[in-house]
Amino acid sequence: MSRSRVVILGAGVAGHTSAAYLKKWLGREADIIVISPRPDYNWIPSNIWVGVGLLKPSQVTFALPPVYARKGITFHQAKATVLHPEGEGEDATPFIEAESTLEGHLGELLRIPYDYLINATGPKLAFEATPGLGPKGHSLSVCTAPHALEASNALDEAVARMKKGDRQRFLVGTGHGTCTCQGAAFEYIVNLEFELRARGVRDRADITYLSNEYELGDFGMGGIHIRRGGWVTPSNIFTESLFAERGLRWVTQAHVKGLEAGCANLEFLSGEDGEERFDLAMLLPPFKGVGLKALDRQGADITERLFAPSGFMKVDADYQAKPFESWRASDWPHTYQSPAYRNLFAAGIAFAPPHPVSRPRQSPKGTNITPAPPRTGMPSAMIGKAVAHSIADMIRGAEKPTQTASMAEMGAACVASAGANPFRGTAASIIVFPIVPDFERYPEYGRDMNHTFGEIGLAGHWIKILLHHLFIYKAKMLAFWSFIPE
Amino acid sequence: MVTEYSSFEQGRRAQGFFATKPTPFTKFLRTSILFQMVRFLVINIKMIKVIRKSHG
Repeated sequence: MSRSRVVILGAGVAGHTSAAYLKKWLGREADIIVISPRPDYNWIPSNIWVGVGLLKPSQVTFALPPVYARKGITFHQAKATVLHPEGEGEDATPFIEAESTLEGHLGELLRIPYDYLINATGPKLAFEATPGLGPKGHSLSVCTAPHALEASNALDEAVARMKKGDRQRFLVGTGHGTCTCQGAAFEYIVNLEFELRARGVRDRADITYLSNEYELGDFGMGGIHIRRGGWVTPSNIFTESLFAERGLRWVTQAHVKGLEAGCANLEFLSGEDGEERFDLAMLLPPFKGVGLKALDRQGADITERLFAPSGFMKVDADYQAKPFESWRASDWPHTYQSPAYRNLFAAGIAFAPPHPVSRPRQSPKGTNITPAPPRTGMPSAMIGKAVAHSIADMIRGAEKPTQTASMAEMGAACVASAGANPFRGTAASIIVFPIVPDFERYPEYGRDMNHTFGEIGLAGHWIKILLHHLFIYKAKMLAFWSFIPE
Repeated sequence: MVTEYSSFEQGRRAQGFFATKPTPFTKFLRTSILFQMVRFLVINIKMIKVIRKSHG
């Protein structure tokens, strides 16, 4: 009997976790094949520190091919393009088409058969959704290590101008009405402010947070409530306090219509237009699926059957359109198996969420200004591990997935740096359970108040440093890596 | 001497005026090494509990 082949698209948190556990659990029983357009692993949460010049890109990335070679995982540096879940013509073996991105083999077509496939491609950074957005336009980003390095260089130039006596305007936030990842923008702005103070130029900086959130602290999760100091406090109070303490201005309910050099043109939820002028802007893009196509055995396009219009893959979620009041925690996927093909799964950001978590809102002009749901590192890793476990069991004879990892049944720990210094730094340590609120189980706030928690302090910064080293160690699959929890 | 604020600065000050702000003692605790060592343990225990609960 030939060995099973498990192909994983993407080597980010979800894909890499899946590959590592599949190899650990299946050993020689299966060939584990990873396809990723980039040869590096990037611990994305630490990109923030690259973006303010505290770390180099080499400290948040490492080369994957030597790690995979050591562990016996096959790696192809290529971009997956077309999925053939039924095979082609007479041959019913499913396969994936990919284009090589390896220097010297650019554009070469690969055709890789599989028995099981995990789509863990992560998001496409859709800068094109807003004219002028992104490093090729008029704003910066910290979504990748090279982007973060550009942001750091631009910050150095701005600081140099400030040291000559110029005043500088910084604009940090979301670059479109449907962005997610407000947490990253939050971390960047508070780190930026801390760094400007450390460099002695804070008094010449006007720093503004620009967000598509209805209120500060929404974070695409509809906000959270924290029990602390004898009060249950909503996250908008928590976030406003942090911003007010640091002298940061904030603008919410904003969609960025377009960017010109030094100016962001806005549309607000109220329907009014506005603008924010800046000297340096770090604005996050919205996320989309990477644009995988799918063809059936006859070559007919079945992309719409497998993928949502956003490009993310449909899995075992309830995608039926219904009003906000009818949304249920149980709408969220459990096994991440495609309803169309039993050997097809999506993990991490690549799966299509059934609906936002924050209440959807539109401006009178019909512009959607609603944060998309967050899918950070911890849930991505837990989903990747659960999917890997299910596939390992199915290879060994299970009829269906054996593991679940619903975001409505798992918590997340988020440590948002608010200034990086081992003695003077702070970070906001936030724990939520569950990530997607469940108002049937927890009627008042949607979350278990005994496990939902937040505080700011130096301890958070120490934890952030600890997590940085632990998770890079784990991703390198060094001794006892699997003892480190997701 | 009368300080003249720009309209931007006036707006910023008004926005932050109604926000909750930490007292000097709270700020001290946030970076107090001894207190934060205790918080480090407490936060880690809380995180481990949530991880264990999430893994089912």
